[in-house]
Amino acid sequence: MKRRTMLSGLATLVASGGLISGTGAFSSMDAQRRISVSTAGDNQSLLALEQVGDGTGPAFGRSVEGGTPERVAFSFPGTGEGSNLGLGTNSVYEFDRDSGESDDPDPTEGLLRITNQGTQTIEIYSEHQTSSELEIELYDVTDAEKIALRDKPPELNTGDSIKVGFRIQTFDAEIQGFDETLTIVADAV
Amino acid sequence: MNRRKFLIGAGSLAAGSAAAMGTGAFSTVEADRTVSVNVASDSQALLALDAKTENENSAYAKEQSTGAITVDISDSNNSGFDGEDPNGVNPNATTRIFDIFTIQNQGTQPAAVWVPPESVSSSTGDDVTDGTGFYIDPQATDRPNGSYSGTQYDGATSSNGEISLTGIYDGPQTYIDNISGAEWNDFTLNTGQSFDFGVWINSDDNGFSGDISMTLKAAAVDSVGNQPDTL
Repeated sequence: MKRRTMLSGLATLVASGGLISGTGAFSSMDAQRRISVSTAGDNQSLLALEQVGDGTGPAFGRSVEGGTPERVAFSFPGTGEGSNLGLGTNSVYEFDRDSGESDDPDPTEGLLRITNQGTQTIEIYSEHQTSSELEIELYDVTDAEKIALRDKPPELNTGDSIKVGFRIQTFDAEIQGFDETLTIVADAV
Repeated sequence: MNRRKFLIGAGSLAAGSAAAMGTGAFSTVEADRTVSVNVASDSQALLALDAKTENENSAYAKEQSTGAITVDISDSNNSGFDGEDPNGVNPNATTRIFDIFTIQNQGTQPAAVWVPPESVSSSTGDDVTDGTGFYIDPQATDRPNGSYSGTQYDGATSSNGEISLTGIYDGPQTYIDNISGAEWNDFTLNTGQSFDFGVWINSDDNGFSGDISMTLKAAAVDSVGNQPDTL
């Protein structure tokens, strides 16, 4: 699919390239051009990442956002859920929503909303590289089968969003706290 | 893999789509975000499995160095009456051992707790869930919710609010559908609530020695007694 646009792009380059070589060959050129780049908080970025759901106290959820620029971060259990608690070993935990949603008759699903604020359709998935035994993956909370995004990356058109939950498998991880990095990847399709 | 896509994108931009540049096309974005995970022993887990001295049969439970709880009904560690040294259950008998450890919901939502029948397997390869010969079934007693006290296997009457955590190998939903009086309430633990784990063991004249493994599943429900979204 992408290949076709690429080919037509090349074709136009070649076509106009003929003109260029006819009028003035050059072997090298340096041109400084300015590229304006600005970073934005996760909420305002091209790939918008927003925490959703309430924690058990102000900013004490499983998903939070803060800092400058603003960034989302995650904690399991949520910091308001009891500091001595944890995920059992050799277990699979799925977190569909934040801890403070339990008493809500109409709870907010998902821990993270990912929105495509760019101009191209993207596919979205997560990667988790770690030296620990843990395995962390995201899934669409509206998917009854909760298939991991990385196994079946959903496509998001411009303006579309998806709400995801976290699946954490502990396997034989030691009894301790882990600071893991999850990479959220958006690829144009 | 994406590097190529990115270059192509840059190429077509250079070819003159300044408009796209202004509106925010991107070819790939990778954002690293932190996830803190705390792994705890079974006794401190969100679904806690804890053998305490007040569990009448906690002698059969062992917390491994990995933090995982196991049940051992074979070993000579189970010191019996008057210093005797029992090594297992009787042949050709039904043995019910209740209250080995406590299952407690330490999460923030009510949850139904059960054992998926297909998760019960034996290291010997024998089918231990077929209801004939040697079979074993996990039980819950002292349940805080539900009122079911119907018959269990072999026409035996439920005691201590005993219920089969596998739904007698059919899963809770089929069990509830087929057995009058059974409901999701029977399997549900509200935040902070607990019930006790035990086993029903049926043995025949053939000996059995092996490890049985099973998965405890907890699925959140919106309120006590509801069917969980995830089965």
